[in-house]
Amino acid sequence: MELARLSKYRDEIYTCNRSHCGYCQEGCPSYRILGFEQYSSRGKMITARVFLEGRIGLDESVIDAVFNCFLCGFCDAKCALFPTNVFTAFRREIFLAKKTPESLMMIINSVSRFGNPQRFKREERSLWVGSLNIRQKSDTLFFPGCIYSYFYPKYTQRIYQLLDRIGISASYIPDIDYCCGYPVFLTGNWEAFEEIARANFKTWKEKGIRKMVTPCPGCFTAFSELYPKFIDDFNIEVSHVAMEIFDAYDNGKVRFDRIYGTITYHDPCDLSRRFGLVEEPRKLLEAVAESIIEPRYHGFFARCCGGGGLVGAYNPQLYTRASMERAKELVETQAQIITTACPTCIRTIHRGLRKIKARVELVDLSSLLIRAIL
Amino acid sequence: MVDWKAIKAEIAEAIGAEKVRDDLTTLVAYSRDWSPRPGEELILPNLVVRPESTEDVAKVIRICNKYRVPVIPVGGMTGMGGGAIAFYGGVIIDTKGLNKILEIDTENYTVTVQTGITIKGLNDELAKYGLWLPHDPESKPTSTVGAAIACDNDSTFGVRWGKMIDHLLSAVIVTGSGEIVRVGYRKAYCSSSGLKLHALLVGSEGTLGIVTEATLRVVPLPEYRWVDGAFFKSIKEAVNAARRLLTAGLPIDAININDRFRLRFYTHAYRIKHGREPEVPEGTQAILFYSLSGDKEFVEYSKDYARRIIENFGGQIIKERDIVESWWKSKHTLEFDPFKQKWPDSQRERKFGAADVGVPPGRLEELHEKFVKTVEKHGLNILGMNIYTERIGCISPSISCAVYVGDSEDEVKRFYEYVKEMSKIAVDLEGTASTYIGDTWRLLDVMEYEHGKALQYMRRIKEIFDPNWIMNPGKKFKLPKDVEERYKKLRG
Repeated sequence: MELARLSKYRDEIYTCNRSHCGYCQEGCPSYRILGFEQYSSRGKMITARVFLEGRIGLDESVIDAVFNCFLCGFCDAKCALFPTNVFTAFRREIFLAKKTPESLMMIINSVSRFGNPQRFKREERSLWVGSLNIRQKSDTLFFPGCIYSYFYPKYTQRIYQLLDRIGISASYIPDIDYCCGYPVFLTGNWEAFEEIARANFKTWKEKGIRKMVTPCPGCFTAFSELYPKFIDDFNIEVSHVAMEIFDAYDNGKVRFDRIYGTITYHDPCDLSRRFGLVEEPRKLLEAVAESIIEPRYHGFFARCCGGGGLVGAYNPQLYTRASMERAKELVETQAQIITTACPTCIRTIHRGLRKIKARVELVDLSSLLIRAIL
Repeated sequence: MVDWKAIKAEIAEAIGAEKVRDDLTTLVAYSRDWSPRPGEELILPNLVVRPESTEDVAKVIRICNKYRVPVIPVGGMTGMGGGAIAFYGGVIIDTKGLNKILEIDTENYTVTVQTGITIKGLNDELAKYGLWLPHDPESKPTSTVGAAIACDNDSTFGVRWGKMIDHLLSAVIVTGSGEIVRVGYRKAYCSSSGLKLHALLVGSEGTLGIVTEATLRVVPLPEYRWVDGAFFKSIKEAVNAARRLLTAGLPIDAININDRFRLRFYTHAYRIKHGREPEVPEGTQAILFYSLSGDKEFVEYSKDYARRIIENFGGQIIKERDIVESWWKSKHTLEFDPFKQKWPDSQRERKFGAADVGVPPGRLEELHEKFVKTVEKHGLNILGMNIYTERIGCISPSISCAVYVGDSEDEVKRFYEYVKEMSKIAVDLEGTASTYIGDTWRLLDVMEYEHGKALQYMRRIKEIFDPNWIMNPGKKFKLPKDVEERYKKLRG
C-alpha cells in the first residue's frame, strides 16, 4: 500500500504558500501556545515547500515544528487544502530519514512488545470485564481500545452494558484484543502499522467478525480510514459507539430521562472534524440535560484538548499547556458537567482540570447516558 | 560585518531567550507574506523576535539601532504588498505576542489593546459586551490591530464607520531609536490640540516605529443586518444609485460595486449548489452590493425604500438570494464554502494580485476602461474590478483592480509593472496610487509622481522618528544611498 508521500502534496503546499491567509492560526493549539509561525499550518507548509526544494534538511528545528503539531485538524476545518494530510506525510519523511524522535520510537517499540503504547501488561487489558457476563461469540466485535481498557475500566464496562441495552450483541474476545496501531501510524512508521492492521484483520476474519463497534475515535479513524487504505479487501463495517447510541435513540429503541442540569460537550477532533459527528451527541445530551452550554470553540471548530498527534509523548509541557487551555474554556461555560466521547480527551482534559485546579465533574458520554435510560 | 550571534545573545539577555530564534525553520516561516512573489523565492531575515510588551519592543529596537540593523515589524503577514518581507535581512519583530486587551470601557465605547491582537480576536471579546470594532478587512482572523493601523487596510463597513484612522484615538509607539512615545488624545474622540501624530501612524507601514498599544473607538453591535444586491448597466448608474441611497439617509453600512468580471469570483457556492452559472441580465456591467444595519423594524422599512431607489436608478434587484448571500459570506462572515473560492482554493495554480488605486467617483468608468487595456498590455489575466466605499457617508472609491498572477519570475515582474502603471493612471485621473495595500517597496517609483515636493517633507518626518533608517527599510521611502549600501553589504 502506498499512501501519499510529501511530494504528492506539492500542489497543496505551493497553493498555501501563494495564499498565506493564515486562517489556520486562530484555533491552532500549537501556534497559540508556542507563538512562532512554523507551529501554525501555514508556517509548516512553507517549511514543507523549502524541504521539497532541497533547501532545508530534516534538522532539529524542522522535526520540532512537525512533531509539535496535534494533527487536530483545526486547520483542515478552515482550509480547502487539508493540511494535516501534508503533516502526516511529513512525519513519514522524517521516519524514512530515520530521524523520528526517540520518544515516538518508544511507542512503536511498546506496541510491538506489549500490544499497547503505554506498556501495560497484556493480561491486564481485559481486567475491565470484571464480573460482567460478556459474549465471546458474535459477528459484531466490541473494540474498546487501549486507553479505555487500561485507564477507564468502569467506563468501558458501562459502554459495553449500554450497547447491550440498545440491542447490540457485541462480543469481546480478550485473546485477540490488541492495539489498533493508530499511534504507530502517527509516528510515520507505516510498515509497522500495516503489520498490526493485517494481523488484526486476520484474527477478526478468523473469528467471523463482520462489524466492529468502538468507543475510541482514534481506533475508529484507524479502522474506517486507514485500514482500507492498507488492506485492499478490508470489508468489516466500522462504527463508533456514539453513532450506535444515536441511531437507537433516533429509532426509538431507547429513551432517556432528563436527569442532569447543565452540560458542556467537548468535541473530539476525529469525531467532529473527520466524521462530522457534531449534532448527534448534542441531540443525545438534549435528551438527558436541562441545557447544553457550548464552549467558545465547539463543533467543527472545536479546540483540541491537547491529546492529539502524540504531542504528549514528544513534548509533555506543550501537551499540558494545551490541556489547561481547553479545560479553561470548558470551565468558563460554568456547566455542571463536562462530557466527551473519547478516552484520550477525557484523560487530557482531566489533566488540564487538575492543573487549573477546577472542580467540575468530567464524565464519559456513555456513562452519562446509561444512568439516564428510562 | 554584523555579528548576528552577538545580537541574538544581547536580545535574549534583554527580553528572554525563548522570545528570539534564528533556526532555519523559523526564518523560513517568516519568508513570505500574502503578496505575489516568485514561487521558489526565499528571502530570510537573520533573526525573529516575538516580544510580549512595549518594553520588550523598545529593548529590541534599541539594540538594533545600536548595531544599525533593519527591523521589520510584522502582524498577520497577510499584506498584499510585501511590507512584511525582510528584503535586506535583519530582525523581524512578530507583534502577535502583544495580544492582550488592556481595557474595555463600556461607558465611553473605547477599547485599549496591545496591537498584536487579531481583529477577529478583539471582536470576539467585544461581542460579550455588545460592542465591536467595525474596521473589517477580509483578513480579520489573521490581521492584527497594529497591522490595520500600520497598513491602513480596507474595511467592509467603511461607508458607515470609516477606516482605522476614524477609530484610532491614541497610541503608544516605539520609535526607530527605541523611545516610547504616547500620541493622540487618550479617549477624546476629537481635539484641536497639537499636531495629530497618531494620524501619522495610520499607513506608516512600520517605517516610523512599532505601534504597540492603541485606544480605539468601538460601537454597539447592530441588532439586525440586511444584505441586498442589484444589477446595473454601467458602473456610473450603480454609483449614482449608491449615492442616492446615502443621501436618502438610509442605514447603509457597506457598499461594494463589482464589474462584470468580478461576479464569478463570488459565485462559487452558487455554482456548487445549483450546478450552473447564476442568471445575469443581458447588458449587465456592474453589480452593486450593499447592506443596511440597525434596529430590525427600521432596517425592514429601509430595505424596501432602498429597493425603490435602486429601481428608479435603473437597477435590477438580484432575486436569487444565493448570489447575494454568497457575496456576503465570502466577504464578511467568511463561511467556508463561498470563502474557499477566494482563499485558498482559487489559488491552486496562480494567485490574485491587485492594483489598489483610488479615483474620484466621476472617473471610475475611465479607470475601468484603462484597467482592461492595461491588463492586456502586460499580458495578465483579468479577475475584475471591485470598488469598495471606505469613507464615512460618501461614495469614496477604494478600488481593487485585480488580476491573476502565476509563480514565474517573469509574470510576477509583469504584475508589478502593471501595478505601477495603474497607480500612475490613477494619479492622472485625480486620484491616488494606493488605498488599502500601502506603498511598500512596489510603489517606490511612483511616490514622487504622486507626492512631488511633499515627499521631501515626509522623509524629514520619517527621520525624526527613525534617524538611522532601521525601521522597515526599503518600504515607502527610497533609502539614502549610504544606508542602502550598508544594507546591501549586510545582505551579502
